[in-house]
Amino acid sequence: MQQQRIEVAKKLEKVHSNLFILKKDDKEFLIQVGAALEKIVKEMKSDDAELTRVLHLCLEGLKAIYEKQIVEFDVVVNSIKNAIDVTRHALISDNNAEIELSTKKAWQDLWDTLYLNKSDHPMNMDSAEQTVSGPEPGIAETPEASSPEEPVSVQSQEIPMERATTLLEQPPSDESDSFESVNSNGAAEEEFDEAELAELTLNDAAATLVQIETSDKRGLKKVSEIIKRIIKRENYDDEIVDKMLDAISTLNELINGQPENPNILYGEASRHIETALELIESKELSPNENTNESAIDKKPEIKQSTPPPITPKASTGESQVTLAPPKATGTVVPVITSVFEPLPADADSSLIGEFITESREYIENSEAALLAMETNPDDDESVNIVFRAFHTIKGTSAFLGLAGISEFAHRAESFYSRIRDGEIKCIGGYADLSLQAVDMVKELIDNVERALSGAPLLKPANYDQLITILESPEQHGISNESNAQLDELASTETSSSSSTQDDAASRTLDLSAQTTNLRSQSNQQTQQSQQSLSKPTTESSVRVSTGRLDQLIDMVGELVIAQSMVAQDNIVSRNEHHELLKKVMHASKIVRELQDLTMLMRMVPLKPTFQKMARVVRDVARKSKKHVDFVSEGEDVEIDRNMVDLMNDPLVHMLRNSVDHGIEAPADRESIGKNRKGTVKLNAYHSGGSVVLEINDDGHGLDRERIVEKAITRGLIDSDNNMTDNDVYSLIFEPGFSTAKKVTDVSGRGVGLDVVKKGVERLRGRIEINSRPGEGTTFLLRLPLTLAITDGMLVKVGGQRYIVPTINIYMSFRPVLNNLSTIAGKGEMVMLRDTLMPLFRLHRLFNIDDAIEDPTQGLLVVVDDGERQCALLVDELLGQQQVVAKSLGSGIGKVQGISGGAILGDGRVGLILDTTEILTLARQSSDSVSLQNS
Amino acid sequence: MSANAEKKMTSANPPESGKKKAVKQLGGKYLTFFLANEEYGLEILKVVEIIGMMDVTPVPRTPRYIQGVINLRGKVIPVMDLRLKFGMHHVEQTDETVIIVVHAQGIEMGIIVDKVSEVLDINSESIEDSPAFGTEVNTEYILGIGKAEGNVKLLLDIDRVLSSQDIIDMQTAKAKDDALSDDDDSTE
Repeated sequence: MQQQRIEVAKKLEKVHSNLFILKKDDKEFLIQVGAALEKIVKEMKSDDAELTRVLHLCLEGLKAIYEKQIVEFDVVVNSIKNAIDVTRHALISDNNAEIELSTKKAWQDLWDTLYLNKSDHPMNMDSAEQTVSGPEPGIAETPEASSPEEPVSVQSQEIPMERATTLLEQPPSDESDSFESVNSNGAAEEEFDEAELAELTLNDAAATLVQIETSDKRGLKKVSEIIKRIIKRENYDDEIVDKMLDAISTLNELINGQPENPNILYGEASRHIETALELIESKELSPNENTNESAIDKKPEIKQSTPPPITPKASTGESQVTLAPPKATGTVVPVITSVFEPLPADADSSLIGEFITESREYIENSEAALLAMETNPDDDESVNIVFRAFHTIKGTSAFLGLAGISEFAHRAESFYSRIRDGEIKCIGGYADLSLQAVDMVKELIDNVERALSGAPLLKPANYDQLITILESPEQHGISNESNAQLDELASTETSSSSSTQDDAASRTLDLSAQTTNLRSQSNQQTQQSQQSLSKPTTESSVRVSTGRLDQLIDMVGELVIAQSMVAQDNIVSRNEHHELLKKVMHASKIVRELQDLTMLMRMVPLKPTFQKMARVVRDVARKSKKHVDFVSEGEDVEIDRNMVDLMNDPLVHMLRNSVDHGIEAPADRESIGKNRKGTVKLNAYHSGGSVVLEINDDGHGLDRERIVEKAITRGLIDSDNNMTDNDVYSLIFEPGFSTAKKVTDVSGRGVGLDVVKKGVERLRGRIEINSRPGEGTTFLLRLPLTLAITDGMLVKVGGQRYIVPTINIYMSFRPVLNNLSTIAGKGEMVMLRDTLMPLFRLHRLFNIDDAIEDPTQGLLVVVDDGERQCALLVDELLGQQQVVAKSLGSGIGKVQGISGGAILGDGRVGLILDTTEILTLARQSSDSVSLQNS
Repeated sequence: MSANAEKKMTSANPPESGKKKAVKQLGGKYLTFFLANEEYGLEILKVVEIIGMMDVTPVPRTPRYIQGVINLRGKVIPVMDLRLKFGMHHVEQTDETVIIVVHAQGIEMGIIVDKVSEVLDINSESIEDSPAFGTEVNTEYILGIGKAEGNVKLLLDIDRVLSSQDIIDMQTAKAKDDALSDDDDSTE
């Protein structure tokens, strides 16, 4: 039994894959596929009635294709593919409720597509003239005269839902028979189609609308027909009905008129439908006893738009009508249970992977757009970016069967559409909500990514909550009031925008208002449509694993060395072979260019990082109730890919620090004559072969007195005598150091800045602070361009050469005897410009015999381990060199004082010194710890 | 070969490290090299390449037998002087001194030997266990003793040679450290 099912499933899979290569006009192949499918249908067990039913429908679809009744070939084939796939899936998996649901859904979808796509579809031209009554909102009323059959609709209402549900379980034979009859009997088609129309739900209408083009009048007509029937069939609330009528009138306008811009109307229509859907759902969640009554009251108004000849048949309650799944009840809105459905078993992981990458890009863009919108709430383009992003995510995730995401994106989209339509402004609470929605999608996508690697698809914690909030933000206390400063701006807007509830009261008024609204927005919409037409041109790129890239860089590095060895060869450099020299020089040039190029390959712009930072600043400002403008410059500056992640933490902490500690509260700022709004600037630029990140705030600056005081209480220093401002400011990087008077959840615990310092050190960077009391603080982060290349100073110690990272070197000098002193005959010290620092002999640390022993003959390199400066005695400096840092190999383990090796110009290995470790080592081995000045 | 292997299983069953050696199929191709007068054998599959002696950059604060690091076509790999590792006398390098680059236990390393000799096929039956000499002579790096062409080849357990390092490393480094601070104390 099970075996047989698997057999069938396999065959289905074949058909499924065949469908992929099916061409529109390839009749022969089509027949083949059809025959295969027919065979399968015959083999199906009777207990798989449901599935057989679906396959039957697929067969019908293929027939329809064969008979060229299909308008949109691709759409139909896709639906068939989907249906077959679902069936296959159902066959091999255990029969549970979920499968059943998806089968039903597939059936319904296929059914819809099939009948929507028949070229000889009656509704095709049902009566274009009839509805052409007028493009203005008035049209809704016009058909009234021609459709007086009000009782009919009431009758259809009375079909009990239970019955519909039970009918669903009927044996499939009925079902397929009825299809046959439809297909074979062209005359019956018209009425039957009506029957079909009559059972479609609002959800279907929305789905249909999404699938069609604005120019597809027939499709639009169908949607409006569906909605009309729904209005008649269901006794929805006035409110909902109103929304639906709005949708119809908009659709009519689209169908009949020659709108300046169809897209805007199209969007309007879908928005109406969506609103109606949401209302229905909220009503279903909290059933209102009044609903029935009011709906019935409303009826006379509603039936108006029904085309007369069809209605009676549709609603007589014959079996055909009710055979289909009762979508109206079960699936109006997909219900998300507490556990997400697993990834579809047949999920194409590469497709999903693409979706993840793509979505992340969208999310990133929308986040940026939302932030931009906050400063400029009228920025239509930003709204559109966000809207489009969510729309795309919704569409793609639905296609991939990721119901959770599509559902959420849908909600968010409706919310954003309110912003887009000017109903609400993306400020204050709404802005927060918008960003939360973006975060949620981020999380959902992360979860999907995890699910791809086998983990269960988890549902983010506040998923449901956020959905409800998105649905009706106002009821959850979200308004645009939370941002006082933008309040005035907003208030004018809010008064004009009306909540959905108000609509019911003055539908006509509202409609006309909306129409004018539409007109006024048409400019903006033109932009949008242009945007959607001209897709952003992205540079085409290839993903390469970093491992390979590193290998390439290594190899190129080797090439450079090999080349320079050739160039320095005696025969070449003797200058006797002029031609040869020329050729070698030429090769050198190419090799150097190649090296530059490979280095560039690792570089990525800082833009995404900056975007993240913008978000951080915004959130912190919101939390600490400050008004902060975030200005960033130099987003195009590029930095090594490996560094981007490492840079994140320090930047976040510093920006937090700037906002929370630097910028004063708005009231304080005002009182000292500053703008209420603080400014935090993040600036990146190149300077002397490194990247400088500048974080600047216009807050109160560092308080030297307070820092000193705190440092003394913490025992870090005894007094601030002889300490420069810079020295004092550096104290804030001590672990646990915080001058904040109270601890907030943002900062003040003192864990921030030492993280910064560690992070920056790890990046081989350096940090500087400039601060002016009352004017603000600037942090300067000086980072190397890449971690792969170390800018080093080649030093000689005896016969050995070492590389000291230039970033660790403050200076080098040759001491005079007077400046040297020892303490207790042991600890050597050297005086440099009135600063006493310990002197360590590198040759002694490394046991090198033939080095210069006399400091006055050698050279002292002043290095810094982050705490204080020390002088290292070396023989001489050999020059500066950029080297590619490499590990010494696992066979040797970690060597203290050496961070790695690098291939020098002569092909030999030079060791890169780790100054921090060397100083630690020196302190341990020389007994001078206690002797250091402190 | 398989017959050899079977034989090996039965024949080589030394008392001390019997388990390890019984599992191993010792027969196979060996690269032989000389350290002083002794001829050693190294499993050919563990050998990456043989390179001539080149400039070795000494790495400070490592055991004495770690000669330093070399640049193997852009890769930095450590080099070990096998003579020193085995506690033999250091000799000046000659034209015949080579570095055998081996790869074992995920470690790539060069070993300096006096000279390489040949690649030999040594049957399992002509491999004997290393005799125990008591504490005087350490045979922990010897898999067994192969007999070929009337000579004796000491089959090297290169995995052990490479991996035993860590412990020694630490010990030596510590000893060095101590020595260093002593030195500091005394000189200053």
